[in-house]
Amino acid sequence: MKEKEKNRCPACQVYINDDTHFCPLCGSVLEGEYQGVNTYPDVKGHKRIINLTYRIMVFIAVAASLLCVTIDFMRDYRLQWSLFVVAASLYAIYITTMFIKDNKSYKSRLFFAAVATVLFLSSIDYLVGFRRWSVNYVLPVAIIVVELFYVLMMALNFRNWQSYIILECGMVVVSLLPIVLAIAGISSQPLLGYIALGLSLFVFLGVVIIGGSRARAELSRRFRV
Amino acid sequence: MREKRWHTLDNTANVFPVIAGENLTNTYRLSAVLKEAIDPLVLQKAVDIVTPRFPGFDVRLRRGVFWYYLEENGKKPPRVREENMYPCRLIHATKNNSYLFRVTYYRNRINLSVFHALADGFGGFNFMKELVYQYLRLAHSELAEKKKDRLAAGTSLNMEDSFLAHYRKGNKSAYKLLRSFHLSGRRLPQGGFGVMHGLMDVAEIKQVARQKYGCSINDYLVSCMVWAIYKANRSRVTGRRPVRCAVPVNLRPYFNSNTTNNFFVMISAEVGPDTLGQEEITFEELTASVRDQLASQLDKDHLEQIFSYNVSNEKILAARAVPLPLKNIAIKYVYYKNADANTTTVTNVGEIKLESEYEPYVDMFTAYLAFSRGQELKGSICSYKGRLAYSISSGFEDTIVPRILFRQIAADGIDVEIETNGVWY
Repeated sequence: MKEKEKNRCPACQVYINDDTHFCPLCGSVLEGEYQGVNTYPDVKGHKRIINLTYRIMVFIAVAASLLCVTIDFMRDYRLQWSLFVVAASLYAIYITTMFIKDNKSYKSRLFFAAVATVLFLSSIDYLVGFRRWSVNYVLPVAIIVVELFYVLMMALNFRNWQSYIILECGMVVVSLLPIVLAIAGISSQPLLGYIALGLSLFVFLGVVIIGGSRARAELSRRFRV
Repeated sequence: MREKRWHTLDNTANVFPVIAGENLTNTYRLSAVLKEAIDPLVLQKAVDIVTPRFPGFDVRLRRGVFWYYLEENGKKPPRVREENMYPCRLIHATKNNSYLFRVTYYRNRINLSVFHALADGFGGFNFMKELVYQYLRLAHSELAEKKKDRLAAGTSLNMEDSFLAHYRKGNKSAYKLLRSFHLSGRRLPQGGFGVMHGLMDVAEIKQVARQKYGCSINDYLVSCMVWAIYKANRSRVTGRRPVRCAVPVNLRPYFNSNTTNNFFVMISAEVGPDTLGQEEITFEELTASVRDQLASQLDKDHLEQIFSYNVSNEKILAARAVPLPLKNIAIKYVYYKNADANTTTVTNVGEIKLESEYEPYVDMFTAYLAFSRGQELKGSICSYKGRLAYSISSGFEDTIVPRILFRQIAADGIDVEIETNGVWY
């Protein structure tokens, strides 16, 4: 082996270019006085801060829930108000996880945030005696809000409006849910549900008809077998 | 307003969006080490100029009802950032302006991370070289005077699906679905990603490989990897679970293609107690075995058979009409079955050649793959101007496999310089 200026590991017989005095392969102290250079940044600290903040948030939510459940249970051996705290904690963890850690598109985030909100409020409705306000009002209003948000985004993101067609198609399907719940007798006020379905249908048809060939091309791409 | 460009994913690329996740990023990194510090503003300008010239990179991934597809992106090219994360992180389709490649820099190095659905190593370097050319033309006025501001002759913009163009109907699967030995050990903390480059002279390796072992550089370096894994886990490697190393083969020379899409298949070499019918194997015996196994598979008909089976499946109408979520389940199952068959992967992207005017500005190129579930250690080989970089990407806290590997190379009389990303200190 030729003599080089670089630090050499006497055990592995390789030269080490990094700024270190021991061998990354075997841990032996290196021979030589060469001042190495690290060619990669130290990224460990950066990751730690993000993970730590998230974990602290999850810990606070879990600890608060457990504490409330324990206090509630110790009062009369039943769970009452603490279930609200548990539902709120789960909701907060989900929403924070989605916005901090997930990498979904803003369209998906809004959709899943709406789903989580509907589920959270439905659980509250259930806990206070199921007066059906969650299925009568919250669900159809959530559909209308998401639908209006998509329409707004289509207008703002005009260069790429056609990518919303498939979402509009999905919204028509989702809008059938309040109607199905009304038919099944779970909800008692179907009016808002009909408005949500009507809105979704009109928006979808409007996009397809006004969009013309670009809308049809988008649908053919999306539905290509 | 003109209609958007779009194209389907090639046969191999169909798999990548399905299986991609934080632990299986399907991203590889190509790096160019220049002889000067990188100017981020100039690099950004180079990315802005070069990206729209490559229709294969100026795309975003879309989800159809039955298939994924790639559609003209139309947004600003991705923002250049200083490297501040582990390499080969997942490229999220919703970030990075929806582009499926990322450009970062650190000191003298330009990094191009590419989601494998876009291109293989050939396609990646095809883009990388133009990015380096453009950067150097912007950074050095004397180069801009000498070279016109356009793509270099020989750069390919071909986006043919060469799998489809060259497949033959009715072939049976040529992949081995047997299980192989899998490496295990403590993982690096916090999703750490270890990179170790072994830098050596091509001439020295060539001499050792040819004269001492009667094989090619590729055979020799693959053998070193297999040897290191075998030796580090001698008591755990069995006849039923041998060390099997997958070796991607660039199909372009065999089928006269210059597509920038994926066009490769995997062949493999395995070593276990049963391979040579003897308990103890020497490095010389192992190298001869690996050489013969790889040579026996490097036959055009065999290579065609490997990819024809997959393409034939893709062509069945009943399978095509399955909705994407169900298709994804099937693709995942087949992928993990296949992935279990290999202990590791060693890929050789070959020699990188630049136009002579640019050569004095570039010190080295490196390439490496993200390790993946079941293959938490992989090797990648790349050379430039007589220097070869054997890069090991690993998720393990210990370095026993790279230690045996580089010690073997050093013991054969080759000077090895080691550079790491610091996770093992």
